Amino acid sequence: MTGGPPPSSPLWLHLRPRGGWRDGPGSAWAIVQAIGSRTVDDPYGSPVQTIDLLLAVADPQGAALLRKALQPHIYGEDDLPPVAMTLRRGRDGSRQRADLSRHLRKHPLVIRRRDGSDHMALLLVPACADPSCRDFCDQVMVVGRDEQELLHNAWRRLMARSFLPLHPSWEGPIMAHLQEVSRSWSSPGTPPLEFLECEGPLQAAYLSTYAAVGEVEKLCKERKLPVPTE
Amino acid sequence: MLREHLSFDSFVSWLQELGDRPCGRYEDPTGNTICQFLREATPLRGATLYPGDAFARSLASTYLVGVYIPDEDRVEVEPVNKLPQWVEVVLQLEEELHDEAAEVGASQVPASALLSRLSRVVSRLSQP
Repeated sequence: MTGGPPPSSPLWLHLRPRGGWRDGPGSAWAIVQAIGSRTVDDPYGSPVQTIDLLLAVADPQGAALLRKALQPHIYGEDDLPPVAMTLRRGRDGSRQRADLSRHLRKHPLVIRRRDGSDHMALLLVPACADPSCRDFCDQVMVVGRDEQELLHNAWRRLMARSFLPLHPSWEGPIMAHLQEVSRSWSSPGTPPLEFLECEGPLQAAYLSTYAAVGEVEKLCKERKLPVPTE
Repeated sequence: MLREHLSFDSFVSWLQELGDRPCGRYEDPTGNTICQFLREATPLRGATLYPGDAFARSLASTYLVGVYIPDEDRVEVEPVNKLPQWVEVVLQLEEELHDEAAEVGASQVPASALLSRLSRVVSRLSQP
């Protein structure tokens, strides 16, 4: 075998109603891609894996439990989520508690798609991906199936959010510049695009509107953007 | 500046001049009717209709119109829903007419057909 990253076993999310049996009736599995996940120490228990974005494929029971797990975040309750979740790589690997609250905040956006079977794909993205929150949040998450689509979606977001008018024909030069400065970002503060480590069918990044518009202003001042001609 | 050039009367005159020649192409960022009008009948340049954000709560795109104002050397971008109501109506009619044309195997829509359809809904428009 040559080239490419080594194949890795899929990531599984185990869901069970809190207080229920660990693997007993009422529990379910979902196969997931977790983006922006990190291990956080919990002083009162074992470390927990926080997740920024989750793409899950689950059967109806798993999908129902996943939706139930989001309820405290949706309704802004401080209660313990009614569903206990654990992540593990391969169904025989070690388990780690999972938490969706870090960036989903109070109103996550859930997009559901049914496949040909009874299974359902759920994409859970952070609240600030929702335009209703855009006035309060500088950073939004953007996703795409590959880097090109990710950059295109980031551009569309930037056009919609920027206080500086951006002509549609500037997509190429602006996104190439933002990609370049973000990859080599060493200044304090957040880069215009913070690419998240992704292993799976989706790519994701945080777009910082303020930083991105600052970079566009520099390009404008240096007259590096073409005059729209058509 | 963009709003100043989006005069309903000027748009109708421009459509009348086109007669049976084809009007704009639906979903074409630069070749749709509104952008064609802005390029041909106003001093604005680079008129482009762009889906600015497909991640709206409804998952429907928020369309933006971007133009370059040569005299002022600046770009102006406005969401379609913030422009005079007739702009959105024209884009909707353009979509309808292109769907109908495709059903009978045609690829273009004469400007006169758009004008005729527009005149039927014009009383509902809130003119600026």
